[in-house]
Amino acid sequence: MLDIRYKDKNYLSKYDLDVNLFSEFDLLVYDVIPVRKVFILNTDKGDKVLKKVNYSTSLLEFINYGLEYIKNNNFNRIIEFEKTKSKLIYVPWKDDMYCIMDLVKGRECEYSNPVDVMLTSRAIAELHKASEGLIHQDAFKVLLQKNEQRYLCGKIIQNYNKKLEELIFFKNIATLNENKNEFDYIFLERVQYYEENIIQSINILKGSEYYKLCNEKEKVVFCHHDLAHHNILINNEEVYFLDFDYALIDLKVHDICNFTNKAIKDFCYDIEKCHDIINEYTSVNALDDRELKVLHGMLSFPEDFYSISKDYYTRKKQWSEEIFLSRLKKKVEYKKDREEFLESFKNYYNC
Amino acid sequence: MAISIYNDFSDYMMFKGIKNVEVIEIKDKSLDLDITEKLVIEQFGAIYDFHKKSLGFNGYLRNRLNNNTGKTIEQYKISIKKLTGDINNVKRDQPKNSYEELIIKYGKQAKNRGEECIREVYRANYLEILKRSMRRGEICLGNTNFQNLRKSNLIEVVSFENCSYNMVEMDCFLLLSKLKRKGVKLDFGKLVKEFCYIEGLDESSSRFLIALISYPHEFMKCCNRYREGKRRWHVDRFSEKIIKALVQDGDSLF
Repeated sequence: MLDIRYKDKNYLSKYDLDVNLFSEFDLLVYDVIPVRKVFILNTDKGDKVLKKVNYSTSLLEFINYGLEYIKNNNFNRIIEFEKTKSKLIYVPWKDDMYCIMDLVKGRECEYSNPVDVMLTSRAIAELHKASEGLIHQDAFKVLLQKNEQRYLCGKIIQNYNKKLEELIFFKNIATLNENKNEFDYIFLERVQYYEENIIQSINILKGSEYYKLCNEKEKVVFCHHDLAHHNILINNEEVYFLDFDYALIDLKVHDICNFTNKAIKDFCYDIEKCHDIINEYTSVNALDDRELKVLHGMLSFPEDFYSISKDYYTRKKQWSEEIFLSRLKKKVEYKKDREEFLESFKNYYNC
Repeated sequence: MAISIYNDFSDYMMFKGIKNVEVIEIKDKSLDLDITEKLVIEQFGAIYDFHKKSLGFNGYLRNRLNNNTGKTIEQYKISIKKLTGDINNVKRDQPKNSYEELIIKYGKQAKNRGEECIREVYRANYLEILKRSMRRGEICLGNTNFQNLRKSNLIEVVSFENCSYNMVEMDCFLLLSKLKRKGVKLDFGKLVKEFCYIEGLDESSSRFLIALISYPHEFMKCCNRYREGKRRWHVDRFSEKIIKALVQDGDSLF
């Protein structure tokens, strides 16, 4: 065994690397290489990726249908599932389910590289364009009914209200805690401000034409929803998207908000980066003023503070106290830059 | 087609003929101040030989290779923004100590110089330089000091731990920026041109390097340390450092 520590070794150790599993896919595997939470397989049919899937077959079918539709609309820079001998895209194996995909070669997107950010934004626009009309496919409608939670269009205000209630719930937990730690104190000191942020975000959305947009078919697309740098690979100036586990149906601005937040938060909420993202996106896929206003409302939601609080108080992530604390501190430090960014965004796009 | 798998990027570089050595002895410890242009140009040769071997790597690594493309420029932009905030805060609340008085006195000129450097970086076709670097799959050594890299019969490297995807210009920048800040008297304009000639880079790379080397690195570093409070130095130490930084950063080269 190699003397190398893997960050995801606990997760990876739960894989069953059985040759009989590989033979279900009619593959002869020569070598396996762990990368993040998957294994790269060196096989007789080329390099593949083995992934343990933690959700239902109906959700996998939902994702696969979306991906196939996108590919049929000439966007091929997404994952391709390997079929089993029985022409399925997965194999139920013991208590788990495994998928194998073609390996995409490329470098992970780096948000400090403006070219990577611009190429990715353009590619998101192309991905969205290729998914237009998907929700009107009868077969997909059936899959949507089975995966109702993946239809977010029209639910954002309800969703933000729920998150506001959760934040208040976490506040109650922290307040009741008799042995408060540094995380609790910082959280309690700041939570009121972020509650107001959520209310502000809801008010912007209520004042926008959000519901009207949700009824316009070309505005509603298949969103990736997890545009983290490691889910975006770049090769020869072409962008490939991986890991559609969290894909859902929503307005185009959903992904733009998700990507923008990730791409700017470590760079003092640089408005120029945001302009680049929007310019590149709209060079392929137009956004109207109403969408930009909704985007402003979405960006105003304090996603970072909400998620670190949720991860901490629900113990969703197995991080140490120090990690939680340092991440919380980092996120609350953004406050001023974030405020300036939102103000600049509002003025620049006349929201 | 079989994939090439390496534990670490250093394994690949050794496979390509780079020699990993324990230490590179420097005969004279005070060498830095005696460094000649000839020595620097020889070091450029070693850097170029390293780049020739690292370029276009497309195997798999169990220990991933960092991607530092664009990080220095983004970090420089962040420092400027934070310094702007510091100046405004100190002005608003009045300077509380000698360090803050120095920030009021010298901060604005450092900020302006930093901003001008970043503007020049973009005027020097920064985006095209990035695209070229991405297309060619450029990988930098990250530590191009004389103690880490040497050309003898083979290319010798002590540590590969700072290797990363990056523009090849950054390996020159790291070397020249340090020498300039150490006060070594060299014709940096000529050296930058020499590096670009050796690497086959065009005029925009020279402009880019001159702009980056001119950035007030030490001044910003000192301000960042004071703001972050990571160094528990007495305020007088910060004041001394900021005065020293003005000397170390010297004049802009453009």
